[in-house]
Amino acid sequence: MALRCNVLVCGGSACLMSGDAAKVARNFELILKAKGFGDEAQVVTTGCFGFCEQGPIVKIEPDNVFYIKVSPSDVKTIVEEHITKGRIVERLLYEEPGLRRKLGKTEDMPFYKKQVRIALRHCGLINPEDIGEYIALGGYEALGRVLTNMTPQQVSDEIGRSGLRGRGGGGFPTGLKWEITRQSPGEKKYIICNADEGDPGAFMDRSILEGDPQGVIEAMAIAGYAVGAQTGIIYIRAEYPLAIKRLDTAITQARAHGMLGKDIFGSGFDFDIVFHYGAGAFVCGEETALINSCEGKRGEPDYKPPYPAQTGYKGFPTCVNNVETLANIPEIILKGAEWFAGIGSPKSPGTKVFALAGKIRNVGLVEVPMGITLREIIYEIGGGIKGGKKFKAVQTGGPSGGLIGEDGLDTPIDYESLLGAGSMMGSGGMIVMDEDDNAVDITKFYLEFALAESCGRCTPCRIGTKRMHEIAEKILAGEGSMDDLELLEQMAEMIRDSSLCGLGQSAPNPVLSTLRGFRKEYEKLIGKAKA
Amino acid sequence: MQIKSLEELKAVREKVSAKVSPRRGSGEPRVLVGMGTCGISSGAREVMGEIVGRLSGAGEGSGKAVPVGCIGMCGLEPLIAVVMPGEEPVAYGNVDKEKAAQIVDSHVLGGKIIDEYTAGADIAWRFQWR
Repeated sequence: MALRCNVLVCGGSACLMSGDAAKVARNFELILKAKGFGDEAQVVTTGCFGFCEQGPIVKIEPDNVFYIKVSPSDVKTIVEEHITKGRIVERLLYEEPGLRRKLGKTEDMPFYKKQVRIALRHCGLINPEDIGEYIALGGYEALGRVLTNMTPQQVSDEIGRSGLRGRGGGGFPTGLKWEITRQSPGEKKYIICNADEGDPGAFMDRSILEGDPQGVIEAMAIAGYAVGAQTGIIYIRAEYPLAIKRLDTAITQARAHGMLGKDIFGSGFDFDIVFHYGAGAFVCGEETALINSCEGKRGEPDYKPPYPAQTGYKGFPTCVNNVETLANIPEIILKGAEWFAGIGSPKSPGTKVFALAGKIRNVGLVEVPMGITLREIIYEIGGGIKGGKKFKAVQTGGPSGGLIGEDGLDTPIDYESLLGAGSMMGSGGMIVMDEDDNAVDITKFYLEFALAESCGRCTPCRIGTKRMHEIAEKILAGEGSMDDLELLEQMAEMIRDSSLCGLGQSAPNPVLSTLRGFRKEYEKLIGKAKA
Repeated sequence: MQIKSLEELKAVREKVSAKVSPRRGSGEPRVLVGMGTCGISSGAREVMGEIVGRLSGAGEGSGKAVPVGCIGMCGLEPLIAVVMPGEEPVAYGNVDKEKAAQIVDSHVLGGKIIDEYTAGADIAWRFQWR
């Protein structure tokens, strides 16, 4: 009997930990086989579906039925009822709060309705450990087209025209970065995939690597061709073991299929990929520190210029791109720069992946078109605040960003608007806080992070973050004065203006944004101290 | 196997596409097959197998077979319904392997309803629409 059904079981880190997704998949295999459906139904372990709060997730295709919180003991029911008899198991469907109606299809669920999936296009859809599934859905077509029909300059022009900007948070135009690297003289060049995702609460890059490693590998090969590099380096933190394992499997399979190695697509272009493991230092996400770490030196940033695109890894021109940036590349080549430029907002085209965390109902991973408002993300996709509490603020940009309060909820998501609101795009962490959270306490948390992660190379950051943290602690303990507040503000501005790299320059952002938006909370604590 | 050209990539893609085909295709015709106990006991699984085989033989995008629950017309089992994109569903009763093959060829692939096998409009709506 022919294959009629795919059982997709989420194999993302969150589902593997929230329940027993691995056992769910194994039970499906065993029970389907025992019931004689071995040929009719295929079990596929996929990457993250994004709906992490409700994991483990199981999706049945082509029926398009989405089950949540599936335990190993539910598998027998799903096989007997759904796969055998076509009867949906109602109790495992998602129920939208307030709607009192079970929703089985992803397109009906508010969580998925407003999402546009480009970087996450294969997450939750394919088996990340099977290159065949990636090829079946159009994988490596982009690389083939680039190598057989386009010159390197045409490739970087195409990416330039798409308007894609760096998704690590900086927002530098990707096409321009490729073009500068391509034009920089050097006997060798390198392309580096920055997978050193370090913001607390952020897991976009990990999910992409776990769910669609081939997409990133293909993009690196395309980038390598465009800039003239024959070696790609994936700099990934060692605490992402599942992502590393799946990447490793994917690279082996890509080599076996001739998608990495010598003379790819018979074009004469050679390209291969090596790993460098990071030890989980936040500063190593900064490209010059990352390159130092790759070279075996201390992970400390260098002065720019010269930029890595001119003098990078071992002194050769090096293009450093973030995981999510790369994940967009094959789709842009396949569908064209105009298609991509038409999504999102004019100055920030395309989509952005966000990791929703904190006091939000639908904790998970979402990909939305740029230009969508924070309100839409938090209330429509995210389902609002947990437990009916009142919204207080959302932190974007992690420890480098700031808190945006109620009055900023209608800010459209793009690089410039978020900066204007006193925060920044960052890599995509989005932490939601409710009325029970205290702005000073949150600021202290981020300062703690900054002071622990400061590499110590420059004084403003090394000493300054420590001093700011001390003042925040003092105010929280009820021992602060108005003079402390003034000093904190003055120091924040000085550290911002005089630090060497992005870490120090942005570490005062949580302080500055809370002093602007939530000054009353500082004053209340100081007032208590006086009384 | 080393892939050395876009043509070879296409050949590999065609070879592996069956594995992922249940996962794509909104906007394709759908054939709903009643897979309640009565449906299965009167041969719905064989009918299902025939439909899946014919649809995948006809190539990507020709249609999907979806199992649905009992619709309460046991005397007419196996019952199937063909839903062409944008059209009202059409139900067929007492379907066997041969009839299923004809229905797929004529209705799903050719767009022509086989009137003598249909089970009537009042039956069609009973399917658990998805």
